[in-house]
Parts: sequence; structure tokens; C-alpha cells
Amino acid sequence: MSADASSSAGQLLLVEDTPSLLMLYRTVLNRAGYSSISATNGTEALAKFEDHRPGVIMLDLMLPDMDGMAVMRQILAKQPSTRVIVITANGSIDKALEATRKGAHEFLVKPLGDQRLVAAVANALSEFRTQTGAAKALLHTPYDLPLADFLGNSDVMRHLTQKIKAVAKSMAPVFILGERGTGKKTIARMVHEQSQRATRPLVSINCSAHDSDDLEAALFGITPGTLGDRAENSGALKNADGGTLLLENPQDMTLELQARLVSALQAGSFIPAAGSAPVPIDIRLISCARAHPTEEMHAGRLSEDLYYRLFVIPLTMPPLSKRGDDIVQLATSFLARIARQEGKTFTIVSDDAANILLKHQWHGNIRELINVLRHAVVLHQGPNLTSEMLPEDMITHARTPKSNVHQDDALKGFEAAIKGLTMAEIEQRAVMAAIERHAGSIPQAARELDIAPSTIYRKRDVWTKSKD
Amino acid sequence: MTARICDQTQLDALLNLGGRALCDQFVADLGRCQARLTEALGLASADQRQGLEMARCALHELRGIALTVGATSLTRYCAKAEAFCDLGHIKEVLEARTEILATCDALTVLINAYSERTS
Repeated sequence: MSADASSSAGQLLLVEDTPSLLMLYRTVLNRAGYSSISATNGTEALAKFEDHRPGVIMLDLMLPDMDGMAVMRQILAKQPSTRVIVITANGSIDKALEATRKGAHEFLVKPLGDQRLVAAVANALSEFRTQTGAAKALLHTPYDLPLADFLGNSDVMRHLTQKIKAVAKSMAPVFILGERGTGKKTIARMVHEQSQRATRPLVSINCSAHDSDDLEAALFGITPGTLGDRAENSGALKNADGGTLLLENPQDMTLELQARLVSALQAGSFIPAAGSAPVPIDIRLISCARAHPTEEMHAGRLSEDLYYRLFVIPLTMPPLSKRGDDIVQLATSFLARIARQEGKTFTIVSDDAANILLKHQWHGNIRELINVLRHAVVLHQGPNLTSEMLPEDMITHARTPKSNVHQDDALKGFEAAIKGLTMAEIEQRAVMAAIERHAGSIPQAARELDIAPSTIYRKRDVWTKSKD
Repeated sequence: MTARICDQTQLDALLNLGGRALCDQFVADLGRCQARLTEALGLASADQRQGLEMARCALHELRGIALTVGATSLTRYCAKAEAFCDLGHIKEVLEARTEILATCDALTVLINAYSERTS
């Protein structure tokens, strides 16, 4: 039994309405050392989730009483770190892909091979523990991709790699920004491993994966007897002493907890429980989030004190669609690894498939790329990945020619819209439209317009005052 | 006959893993799905929409079992009938039912035979 399997009790929930299949999955997983709890419908699954808060859920999408997708949505809303493995029958792949877009960890297609099933559960449990545990976390690239393959050769990534080398040597806090699935944690590991603290622990803690009491305990530790019968836990701050603490989504801490963290960072020590002696700490901070910290501070979710402690050196992980030919390099590396896991051989991304991959928008970034490749590998035979193996909507979108007629119409519309406006008014409209396109995110709007967020904040103040 | 119903190696490996209890459960589930399908199609004569929706669920469950035990033909029949349910083609679903139920029966016989052989 692996160390990973040995403590799976209560952490794995199987949701399957066909008793024979449920029995089969439990048997396979039991033999591999994984104990599980089970449910045969959506209502029971939600109740068991409430009782046990499992980290991994194997979920059949078609349940007798409710849609599996709705079950997944409710679970992820309550505990976003949960790894949901969606089970689907061949022919329902589109639904499985939709599920992965909505947050599923991965999908398995029936019939589930024993090794594949065990590997998926092991991987999901390990990821869940890495994300939520305050223990020493070893962060890997997905599928253990060599770092050079993960980084690629695009200008944007070469520039980022140089920046990482420069900041790694410093003690300054780093804030890694980027969309979901771009590889922010991998970059955090790079910074740590290239720093002088590389031989010391890198401890990761996801602030959105805990409620406030649990998060406080995960950060500052628990003294036996202070919180029910829970065992002693030194906490992430102490565990990271001498090394690096990776804070994921710091804006999800309560403001009280943010204040306690700021005090500890200022003092270089903290008091774990009333009456106990201060514990000295020497840590380097790396944070990462999808939301821009400046925006979070303006919204009052991130305290100003913590903002200035964390947001010192920003590193921005580019979305996959901006990484040019890296997409093909990444696809080729992932393809070989996924194929090996599935007992198949895929070595080449054909030119027509590469063209489609390059034209796709990749809103789910690297995670979406992995899902598309897995889909192709599961359903086809190698060694070439051809365009026909890619999802139909990707092919259609890539092959739809951009209409000049529409562009001309758009230009005419734009000309009509700005007719009679002053330059200042046109600028105001362009900025406000960009903010709206990015759902109110000023940093994202600033990136699109290639100006500093502070420029927008300043201009917006002026516009507001002139309106008053 | 066996080869046409399912992949015997896959079935044996599976039943070997789960033993008698799993054999019995597969047989019970096959019987339950057959009964659900029959009931659903009976209902479809009075309420086509609801009957076909029930039938689609029964066929989907049956297809999950068929895929797992390597019953290729049953998988194909179920997938086709599911598609007909989605399209509201009751006549085609009723026609497919005969083949589906017969293949289920044959699969049940195979599983029972394995169970007896190994007990």
C-alpha cells in the first residue's frame, strides 16, 4: 500500500448509481489500498460530502435524481479544492469536456481500466493534499514535464524565465499572477528552487480551500487540546521556517487573519496559542492568485498592510494563447506522456492539428490542452495526432474564415460611434469599454490597453469628479 | 456465440476480480435494467415523452454495464436506441428492444456460467 493510499479513509467518495459498477470500482480501489465511501444518487452524494468533506470524488454524470453536473457545481462551491473525477460513457465526451471546463479535475471514459482508475485517484488525492495540506509540498509540472518543455521558447516565456532567475536570488516577496491553469504553482517552485533557500522547505497553503478557523490552524498551527481532539500541527509558518511559504489566493483570508499574518511577518515571530512562547520565523513569501491584488485591495478584500507585504515583485504567467509555438511544443510533450499513461503511443502532432491548436483560444489554458489531448488519446490510435482527433468545435472555429465584410461593418460602426467626440471623450469610452469587457477588472483592462492600472485609476477619479 | 456477445477475456478478468458477489450483482443489474426498459416502453404508449426519457435512462445504465464487461454489440444497440429516444423515434426504439433484451439474456447466461464454473 502506498503512503498516499494508506490514509485515504474518508477522502474518497464514489458516486455511481449502478450497484455492480460501484462494487467493481470499490474492489479495484480497495485492492490498491484506497478505502472509499459511496453514494448512489446526487442527494446522497451531497449529504455524504457534507458529513465527510472528501478531497476526491468520482462522479457519474448521469444520476437518477439530479444532474451530475449540478452535484459537481454544489460541491465545488463549498470546497473548491475538491478534485472531481467525472465518469462518462463513450459518446458523452462532450459533456465530460464541459465538466472539465467547469472545474472537474479530469474525466474517465467507461470501461475504466484498473490501472487508469487507480492512477487517476492517486493523482487526484495527491493534488488535493498538495493544495490543502500545510505539510511540505513538492510541486511538480503537470505529468512531470521537464521544466524546459514547460517553459517553452516563446519571447514572453523567455522574458519571464530571465525575470525568475533575477528575482529568485532576492529575498523580496513575489506575487505570481495568471489565469486559471497557466502554471502559477510551477513558477513558484522555480523561484524557490533557484533561490538560496532551495534546500529548505517550500510549503504551500491555499487560502480558498479552508474555512477561517481551519486556515488559521493551518497557518499558525494547533496546540493539542486547544481545538477539540485534533492532533498537534505546527502550521505552515513554522514548517516553512528557513524556506518559502507559497500563499495561494491570500485575498480569501479573513481580514482578521490577514492582520495576524502581517503582525507575524513584521515581528518575525508569532505566538501559536495564548500563554505560549513566541515562535521565531524566517520565511520568504510567494503568493499567487488569479485576481489582481490591487483590485482586491480596492475592493476591500485584501488589507492594505498585507498587499504591500505581498505585492512587491509581480510575475505574470501568460495565457496559453499568447505563447505562440510553445503550444505545439507543450502539446507534443504532454501527448507522449498521456499516451504512455493510457498504454498507447503518440509521438507526433501533425501540421494540420498544430494549426488548429495554434488558432484555439485556450480559455482553460494548460489544463484545457491536457484535457483535449487526453480526449484524443483515449479515443484514437497513434502515433500521429491529426486534426480529426480534436474536438469538433475547435476544428470548426479554427477553419471559419474571418469575414472582411464583418470587419468593414465593425469599422463603419466604430467611425459612427466616435463621430463628433473629442479625443478625451474617445479615450474615456475606450477605457470604460475595456473595463466592461473584463468584468470590471482594471488591471486586466490596463493590460489590454497596454497602460498602467494606476493610469486608469487616476483617469477614472478625474472623470468621476468632473461628473460630480 | 460468446465472442459475439462479449470479450470473454475481459469478462473473466472482471468477474475474477469481484468473485461471486460481483457476478450476482451484474446479473441483478442486467435484470433490473431490462425490467426498467420494458416498463418505460410500456409507459411510452400512453406518454411518449416521459416513457422515452425513462427508456433512455435505462439504456444509458445498460450501456455502462455493457461497456464495462466488454459486450460490444449490446453497447452498440444501446447507444443507437438512446439516440432514437433523444429523437423521439419510438418505433425504432421498440424495434431495438428485442435485440437488446435477447443480448442481455445471453450475457446473463454467460455470467451465471462463469459463476457456476468457479464456485
